[in-house]
Amino acid sequence: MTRGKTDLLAGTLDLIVLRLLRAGPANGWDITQRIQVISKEVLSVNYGSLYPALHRLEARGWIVSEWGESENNRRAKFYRLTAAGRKQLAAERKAWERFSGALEAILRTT
Amino acid sequence: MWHRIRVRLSALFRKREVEQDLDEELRYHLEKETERNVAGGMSREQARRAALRGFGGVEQIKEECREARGTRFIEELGQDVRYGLRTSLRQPGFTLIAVVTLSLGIGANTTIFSVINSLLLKPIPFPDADRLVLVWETQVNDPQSRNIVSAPNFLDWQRQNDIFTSMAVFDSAGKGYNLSGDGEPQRVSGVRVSASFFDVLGVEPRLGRSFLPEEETFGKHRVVVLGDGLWRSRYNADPALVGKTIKVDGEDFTVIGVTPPEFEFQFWSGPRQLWVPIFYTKGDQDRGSHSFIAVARLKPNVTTEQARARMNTIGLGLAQEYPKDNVGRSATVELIGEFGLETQRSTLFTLLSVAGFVLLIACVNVANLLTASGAMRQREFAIRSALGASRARAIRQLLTESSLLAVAGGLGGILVAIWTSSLLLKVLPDNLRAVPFRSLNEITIDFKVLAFTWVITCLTGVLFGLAPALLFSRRNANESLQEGSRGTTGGGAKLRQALVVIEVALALIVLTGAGLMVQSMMRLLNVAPGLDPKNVLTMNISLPQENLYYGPPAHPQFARNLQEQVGSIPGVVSASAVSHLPIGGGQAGRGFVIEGRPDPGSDNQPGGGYSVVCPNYFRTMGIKLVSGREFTEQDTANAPGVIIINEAMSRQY
Repeated sequence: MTRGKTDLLAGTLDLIVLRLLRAGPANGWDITQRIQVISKEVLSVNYGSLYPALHRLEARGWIVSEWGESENNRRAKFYRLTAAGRKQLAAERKAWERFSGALEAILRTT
Repeated sequence: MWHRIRVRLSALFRKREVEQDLDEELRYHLEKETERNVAGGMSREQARRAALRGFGGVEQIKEECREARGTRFIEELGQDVRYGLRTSLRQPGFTLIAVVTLSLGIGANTTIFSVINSLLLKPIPFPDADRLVLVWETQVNDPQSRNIVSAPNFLDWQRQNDIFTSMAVFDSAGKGYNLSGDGEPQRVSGVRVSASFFDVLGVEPRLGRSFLPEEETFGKHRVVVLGDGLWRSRYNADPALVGKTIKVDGEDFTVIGVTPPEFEFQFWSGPRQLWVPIFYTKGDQDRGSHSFIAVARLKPNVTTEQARARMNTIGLGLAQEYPKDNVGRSATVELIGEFGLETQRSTLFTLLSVAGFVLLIACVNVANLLTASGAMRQREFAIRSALGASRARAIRQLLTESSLLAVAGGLGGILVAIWTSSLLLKVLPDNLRAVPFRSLNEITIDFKVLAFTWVITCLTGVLFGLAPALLFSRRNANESLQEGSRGTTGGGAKLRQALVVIEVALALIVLTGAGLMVQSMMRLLNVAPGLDPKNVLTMNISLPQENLYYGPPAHPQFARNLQEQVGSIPGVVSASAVSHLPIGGGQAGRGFVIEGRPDPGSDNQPGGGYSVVCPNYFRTMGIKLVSGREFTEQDTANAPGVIIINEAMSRQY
């Protein structure tokens, strides 16, 4: 959008969330911050799609949520990757690598 | 999987908690965002507004989160059901008519199906019934024919058998037995069976034992096995009855066993309550006298086809060995569960399809009612669609409403079925009431019937709900609002015309069918039976047959006495007796040779049905003799034999 930020490609938000949660439990806010920091402010997440995505992933059993304490003792909801989520992450990652590899190959040749 | 279900269930049943969670989660995010903005130099108020702006719409996010949990469908369904209930209660008259119509339609189907279920779908009540076969004589040139077997042929089958673990035989006719001596005399339907009978069927007596092979011989044959029902009703379920002696047809028989309560045995006539061992009478020992039904249990690895082939070989062998009685005959087997269901099957499925048509008519009727209440609903849905309801959503709501009606109709239908099936049980003709080895003592509404009702209820709901659903949801909002305000129903009229056409067509089919049945019934009633049934009373009586086997016949004297005594009752004009009543009373048949013509041999003799009658029979029945005289008291066994033949026979010969 503004300041050279890029919208997320459709379908990549799940992959990103799963990948970030592999490092350990995190709440919604943490996830938005990490996406911005790690992507060096290139990717920005629309909160309007992050929370539905979290709930969807939870409904599918890939992540679970529990209430915990964040810094300065505030209650926050933390999401944690499940075993099924780990498998899903591997599968989505493979699919993404195939896709991006193919895209790259096309961009180079033509 | 389990996890997903839990998430959804908790979303459904702990709705408030889940909502609070969502609130708190989003609030936390907003606060963090606000803090960050404050740290970036905004005022508290500015920071908060910016955070909210970043969120887009909090409510929208919540809605999306709810949807992501996959419970929206169920929540909406709940809304639709509540709304549908309110709509129905607002129009009690309409709802009542619709529910009653559907109840009758669904009830009719449930009733017929419950009969089919009780009669045709229940397994034969013997252990491993799929290994039990009936063994028949058959005609080589008509392999589908099924003839009962003569005792000598059966005994030869048994001797040559290598495919059955055991074989048994029972009298196809059965017989009434008089129980006397202890309390009121009672007539009980019983049957002669071979000693192996209960073993082949796999039935263990609940008390005592079954027959021993030596009890098939005359002199040792005076033993009897009683049915559970008879044991209870006549002997008060006396456990000490086994071993005692009871009077059967005036002779002392020892009770050796009582069948288990679930054992029910009936074949071509009603259920049997008494079993005695067979001993083959002189008549039975005639190879040409076919009167038994054979049943056998297949060896573990023998298929029905193998058994059929083997019995064919055995049957053809016997035909060569005894050409006089067995020429053109063979033998075959048939699984016990597959025999003798044709009439019941075709009749009941015809009835079911008629009931199906009635239900279709009911559906069209209710659909018509629903669309007729149109203008009001149309405006309602126009408003809904103007407010952003999708067409699919509108159809779903309307189908929910019609399903509610259908479910009410289904429940009503079950009530109707409970009532009509007990009614039907009383009026069902005998040939529909019983199939071999099973009889219809009660029509049960079991889970299979309920499942059937459930399925047709669902189909019904969709069927009659579809027309109004498509109609009301179709309209362009604007157009409908205008049309609605003018109170016209435009396209609805066309749909309703179509419904009426369908309804009339369906009704016509059912009416035509019913009309044809009534017509053939009328024709039957109008056939001149050749007798005058007015003021003629009949009653049935059976005599003990002991004397038929080993004593001088007592029947003629008995019949004469009876005739005299009945004839002397005031008001009785004439009285007589006959072995088989005309029309439906069954008959005996035999071959004959006409004097002065060559005898073509026993297999080629012409045959005819005959009844044995007493004097005055023709006068009593109002049958006019075309020529000749009636039988008189002088036509006794010692007088020259006389017969009376009918016109058809005199024409033919």
